[in-house]
Amino acid sequence: MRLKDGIFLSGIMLITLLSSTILLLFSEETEDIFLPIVKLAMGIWIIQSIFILFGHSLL
Amino acid sequence: MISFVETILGTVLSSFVIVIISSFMALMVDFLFPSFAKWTRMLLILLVITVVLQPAFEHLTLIRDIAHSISMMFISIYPILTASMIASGGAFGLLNFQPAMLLFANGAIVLTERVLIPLLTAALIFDLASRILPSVPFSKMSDLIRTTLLGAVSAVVATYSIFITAGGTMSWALSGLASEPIKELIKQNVPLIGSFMTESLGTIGRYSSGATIFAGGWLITSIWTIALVPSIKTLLTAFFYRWTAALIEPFAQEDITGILDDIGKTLFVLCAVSFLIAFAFIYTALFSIILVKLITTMK
Amino acid sequence: MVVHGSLMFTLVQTVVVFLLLLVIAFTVPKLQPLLYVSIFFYTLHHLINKILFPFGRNFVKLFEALPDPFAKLLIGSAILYYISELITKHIEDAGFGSLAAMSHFAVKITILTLWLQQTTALIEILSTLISK
Repeated sequence: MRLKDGIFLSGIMLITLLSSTILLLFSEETEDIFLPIVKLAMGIWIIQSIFILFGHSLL
Repeated sequence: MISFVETILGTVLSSFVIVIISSFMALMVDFLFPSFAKWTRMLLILLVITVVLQPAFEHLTLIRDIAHSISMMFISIYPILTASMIASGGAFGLLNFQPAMLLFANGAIVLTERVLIPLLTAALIFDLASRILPSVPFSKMSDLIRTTLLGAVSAVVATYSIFITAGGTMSWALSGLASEPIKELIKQNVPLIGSFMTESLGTIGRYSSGATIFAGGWLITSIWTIALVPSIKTLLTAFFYRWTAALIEPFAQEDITGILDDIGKTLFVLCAVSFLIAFAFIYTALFSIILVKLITTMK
Repeated sequence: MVVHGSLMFTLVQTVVVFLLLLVIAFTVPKLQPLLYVSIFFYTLHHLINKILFPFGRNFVKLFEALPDPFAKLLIGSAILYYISELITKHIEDAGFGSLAAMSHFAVKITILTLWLQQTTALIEILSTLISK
């Protein structure tokens, strides 16, 4: 198993940090529009990790 | 066990996959057309409701059908049971089986079929309505319905246990140190109905351990399994709704996770209701078995 | 110290550009929009090369622990989005609102295309789950 439990959490932490820093640089109304991309990244990360953690038999 | 879980979740799983995919799609559309956000939300909610509601309603109809068939069964065998009970004389006295209890148990089933399940459906509809149109909320109403149902079910179960323990002849084989941690675990981890579950399981356990003397152990086990399968199925599905809600919360819209959470809550209450049915089923089955055994051994 | 130096340099540069624009507005008011646009884009190009890209690269390096496409994609789409917004605002100021909206939309689609590969992989897995 390539992905250990720690990587999932640190990935979430890093994506959070990264996106919050990026959002700091944006103005307020831009922030709202850019937020879906951040959510998309988070969603892809979560679902991917879930698949790698549990789902090899499902692939 | 794994395949059992898979068959339950298989139907539910695909609808949740659709929810996840559509929420990704909604994210992309939101990014491209921010001014379209209201429409996206509405369309997404409609899609999610059509997909997600179906398994929940399947469970509702499943439990209702079971309640219906059990009450039919009871109506057909009750005269026979009472007649043979009178015929067998005082043999039941030492067993603490009361005919009033039988009537009561099956009255609970009728109550379930006529009142509890329609009320649960109402709670579900109220939840959905308040999610779709947040400015016209019904959330207090649906919460009230759920807590009332839970209270009613617990009251019925408490009455059961009073009936059963009144004679004091039964001792609970499952009691003791071994099962305490498990009970505590269930109590802590199953939301809303955890303590109710352990209590009712304890009550049935107390009862059937007394009956094991007459019926074989395997028979009791199979009755337990048959009675509890719908409940466990509902419980697993409810948990699955809540897990999915927790999983997709970071990236899906709040309404969608709210809908999943609400349906999960309602299914938990449905699980409690199905415990009532399991109760009555176990009681009636044990009653009939012991009756048959008594009559055949006396002859 | 390096950061400090480059910051000072940027500020001085901005002031110089501002002065230049004022001079242009004073001397050749008719050519002002044209010259403004060219100077704007020159400065933008300069800023991107001198500040935005090094910063982006450092930023990506900072989040190296994140598996491959994520940090790059996020930072890349943020930079793209930001530049597109700047240009859009500029075009809008010049009075061509619909053109601005169009270019912004095109950049948005580009950003989504960057993400599309990841998303399709995921959705394929998910759809095998449905069809099973």
